[in-house]
Amino acid sequence: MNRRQKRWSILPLILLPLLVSLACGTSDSQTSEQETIQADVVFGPGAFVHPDTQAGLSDLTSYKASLTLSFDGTRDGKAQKWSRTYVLLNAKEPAARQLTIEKTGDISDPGVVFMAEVDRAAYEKRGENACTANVINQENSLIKRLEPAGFLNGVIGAEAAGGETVNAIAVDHYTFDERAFGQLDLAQSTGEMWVASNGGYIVKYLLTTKGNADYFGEGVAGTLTLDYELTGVNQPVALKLPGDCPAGMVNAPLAPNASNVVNVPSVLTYDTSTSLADVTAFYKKEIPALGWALTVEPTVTETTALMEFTQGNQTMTIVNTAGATGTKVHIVVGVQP
Amino acid sequence: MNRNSNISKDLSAQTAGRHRVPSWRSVFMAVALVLVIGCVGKTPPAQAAETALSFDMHAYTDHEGPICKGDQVLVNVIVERHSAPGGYGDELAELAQPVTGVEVKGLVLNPDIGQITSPSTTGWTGEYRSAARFWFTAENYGETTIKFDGLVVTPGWFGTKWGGGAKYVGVLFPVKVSPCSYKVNTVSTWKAGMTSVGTMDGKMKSDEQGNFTGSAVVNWVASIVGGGGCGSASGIAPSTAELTGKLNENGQLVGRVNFGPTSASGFTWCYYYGGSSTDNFFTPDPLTIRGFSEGASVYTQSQAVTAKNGSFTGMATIVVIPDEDEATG
Repeated sequence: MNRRQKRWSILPLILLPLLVSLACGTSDSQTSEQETIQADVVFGPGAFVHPDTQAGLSDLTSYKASLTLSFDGTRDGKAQKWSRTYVLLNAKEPAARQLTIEKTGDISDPGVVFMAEVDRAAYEKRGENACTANVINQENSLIKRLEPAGFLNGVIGAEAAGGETVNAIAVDHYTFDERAFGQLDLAQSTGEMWVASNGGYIVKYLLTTKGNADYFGEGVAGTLTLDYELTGVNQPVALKLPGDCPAGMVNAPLAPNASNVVNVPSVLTYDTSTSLADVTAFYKKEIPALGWALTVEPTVTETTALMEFTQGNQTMTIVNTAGATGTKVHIVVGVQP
Repeated sequence: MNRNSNISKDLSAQTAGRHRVPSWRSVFMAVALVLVIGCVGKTPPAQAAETALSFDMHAYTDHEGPICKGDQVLVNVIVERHSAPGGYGDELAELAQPVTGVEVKGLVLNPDIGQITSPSTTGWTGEYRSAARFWFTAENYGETTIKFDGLVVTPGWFGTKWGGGAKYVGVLFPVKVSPCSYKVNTVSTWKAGMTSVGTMDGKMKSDEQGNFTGSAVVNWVASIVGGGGCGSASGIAPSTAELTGKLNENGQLVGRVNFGPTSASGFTWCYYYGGSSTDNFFTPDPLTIRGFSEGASVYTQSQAVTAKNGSFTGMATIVVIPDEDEATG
């Protein structure tokens, strides 16, 4: 919760995509030079400073974070009301995250957004569209960017309001207003936050900000409310993927001399100079060792081989096809309904 | 401005407001209070204090791969205010806050390459925190830069509302539009007594009009089934598949795989009754292609196959991957 930590939290967001973009020849993120002025700013009268709203979360083994953002006001003179609710389930070991976003009211593309990241696979389902899977980009995780606590405003000068217990966690209660954001005369805010006495993470946060065009932009006036709560701290987390999501990453060894490897959720394909017979023998030996049961004897012809395995409610189908320079391997993992 | 001087200023201000002349005792108490608070070390200035405010603009996109002709790329632009008021000692953290209500304009410096949507205001409208959202539409191959800028006008932070105190912030966002192609792999499986699997490894390339096409061979394999002294084997000839697609308004590749017909020759035998052979023809139903120009897109789809002896429903797994090896420019 000091200056150095805050900077580290911002830097990856800015620098990593930039470095990646430099490496790939494309640009993901750019930052301007800072424009600095000296100004008289009023901050809150209290003693509490908490600028990094995600502080302490990385030390938790698991949690459920819920945030409801709601707006009630006008845009260009017309009534506008919307809300977005973010619910994040986060487990550290093994790493798994699930985020749902529900939108209601006057908002573009309403509907439920589902995202999950499990065992190197990232899933996404928007509304009634099919669930798609991808490989997690560890450096640019979408869910990490949408961490609900990241939507909260840090405070300077909040006032202590005593100790309490919230969601079975001992917390310190603080109150603040727009001065805690240095926004006196810009908007009227009323806020409360409850910070874990041990760990320094935000357990609960309520903020109501009433503003006009100076705050929300031309033509917009109203009240924005943030209601954040952290529950299930260090409790087991159960993620549930939509039924049509592909299976996870294929955990199967590669036969010798593999090339052109494509390893994505539920599918592993590659080429190998190893012969069809040897590849088939390789998997007949290796896959059962990983806990899969061969359902029937492999079907082997001069040009193809087919093997089917099961493990729990999952199936693994391996198809080997002989080609001019070796063998093409397709491994597909599916989930039985 | 250090911590102690702030507190001293506050105390003297309060004293002056009450028109009281401090006695030696109150001066001593004030000094003691300063020392005590100094040890706690976190009392901020309750009154206005001159503070360095800095503003910067960030532009970023979740788009990771090459930008293809026809792509629509979402660019989020945020304006941040950084403030570091004195009075908190060395452990002070910088307070970074998004600035809402800033109208941001985007300008494509080489408009032949693409277009950017109209000005947008930073606010709480998107899924991200307080961003102005822009869509860049890639229209031609090449490189360009998008210049974003906006005027930060915050009366509470600059003194009077009409007395100036506004700052322009801006950022340059380079863009490169490349020819693109996609790899499309499908694995289709039917289980009807025996298991039949068709695998296809195809590739689609776009033409100048942005139409993606490709063709591929489908290889087939079927399991041998047997029991009770009888068995059955089937050989399925390789077939072909045609791939077509186009980028939709969201920059998503949308298309289909049309499978050609194939023939299967089956042979059934029993130890006691001898064997017989049968021929069959079947055509798998088309599959839908959905892919993004960034990362793999993996999904499943039910797939029927129509044969001489009926129709069967199976399951296909489709993998669509941008072929970055093919991206040039």
